Amino acid sequence: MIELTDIHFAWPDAPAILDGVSLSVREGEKLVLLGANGSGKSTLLKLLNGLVQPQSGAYRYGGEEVTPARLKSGEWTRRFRSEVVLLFQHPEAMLFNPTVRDEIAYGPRQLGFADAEARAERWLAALGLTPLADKAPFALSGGQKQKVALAAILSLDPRVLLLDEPVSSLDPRASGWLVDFLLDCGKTVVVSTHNLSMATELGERCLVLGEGGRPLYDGPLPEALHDRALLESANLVHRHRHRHDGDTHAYMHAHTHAHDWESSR
Amino acid sequence: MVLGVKATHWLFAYLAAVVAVTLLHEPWLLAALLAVAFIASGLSRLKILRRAVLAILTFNLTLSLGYAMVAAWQGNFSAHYLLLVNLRVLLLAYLGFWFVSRVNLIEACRFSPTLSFVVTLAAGQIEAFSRALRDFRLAFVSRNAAAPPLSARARHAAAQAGHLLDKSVCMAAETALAMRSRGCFDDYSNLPPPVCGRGAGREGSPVWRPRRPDTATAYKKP
Repeated sequence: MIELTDIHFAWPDAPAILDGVSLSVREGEKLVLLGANGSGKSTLLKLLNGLVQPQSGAYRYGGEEVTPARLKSGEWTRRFRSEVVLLFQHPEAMLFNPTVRDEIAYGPRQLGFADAEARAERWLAALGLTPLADKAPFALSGGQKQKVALAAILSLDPRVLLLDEPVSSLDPRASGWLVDFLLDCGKTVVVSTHNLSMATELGERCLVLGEGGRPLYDGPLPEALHDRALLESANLVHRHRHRHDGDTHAYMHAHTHAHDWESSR
Repeated sequence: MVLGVKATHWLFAYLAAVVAVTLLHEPWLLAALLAVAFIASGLSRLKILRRAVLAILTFNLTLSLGYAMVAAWQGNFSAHYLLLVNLRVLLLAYLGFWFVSRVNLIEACRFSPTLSFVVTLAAGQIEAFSRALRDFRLAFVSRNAAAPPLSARARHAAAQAGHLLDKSVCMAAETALAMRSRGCFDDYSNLPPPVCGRGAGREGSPVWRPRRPDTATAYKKP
């Protein structure tokens, strides 16, 4: 469904942020992008959404190459925009309509769907946003903004969800809801995170990006999480002191699962 | 909404009042209107007056002093003119603050999707910048047990200005991308309604159109 071949990308007058990324994502697959800050995860998602173009390499969606010429306008672009959606890392960037209801209906209206209002109502209810429907999105809390942004893209009924750090501003309950939703939705999902404790919940396969956007690993997620050398080279593990009854020690480690405390009960 | 009148009507009433005030050239009439507005604005009148005075103080003081000096030097000083200008600006500022304290501007601009869109973008930016400014001020206070020297204040102000400028550029660029992601800058006006298996399309134009079709150019990070 999604195919990247030897993608190279750099912002003007800046070093490469994606360096030789090749990737293939099947329909319905859940792929987790793992990488430290600045490793190119957000840029890769923008590229998959057709918002930026690579300097070299090819991006194919549904077997067709995504090029600036093809993205100019027309039926293909409209289909692409409604099928491939991106949740931005900072939801504020996505919120520019007067009310939450308008925000959620914006995409379907813009792309010309007849049932835009019904879609908005459905997703307002699904995400528990109905009481906020007439409020201004920018006046909401961080978690509520994230939910509105999520509803805004889900209202397009997309086939591919690109999610940039989706749980970063959600509380534990909302994060749990999102994880369950992603597991059940049956859509193709590409989600970025540097939070290893959430990674296992978000997908079964991962692409690890190193510094400078070099792909370091593409394969099953559990294997990556047990590869200390890989995690160290991607800056995904850290070292700090632990205290145990007066004894203090330090070692390189990752917090790979948030539910560990449950098994120790 | 006030007294059951629609926000849009209040917006037009406010705009009419602004035009009317600019057509009055008698200080006593402006003073009388200011008094009427002051009484009519209810319990928050003192708060509104304080905000209006603070908002115009520096600007009006500078302008009035400048005028007084130049006019006195040229020998044509007019207290009537000075009073007229200051009362007019104060009345306009008072009406502005009164209006925004009572009426939801986004609601008032609902009659026009484009205006509504622009006001929302502006309000979102104001909200984000207000928070950033508050954080800057609080961080500065927390790091200064005693009154900071002027040089530190200047450095802080410069850093704050630089940060806000960067933030505004980044936010604008990111918002433009987010808008494009949902089809904002693409022109579908010459296409039939979509048939993607999710129901038939509707007639009519989308919320927002680019002014020129060729505005859909490649994004460049600043």
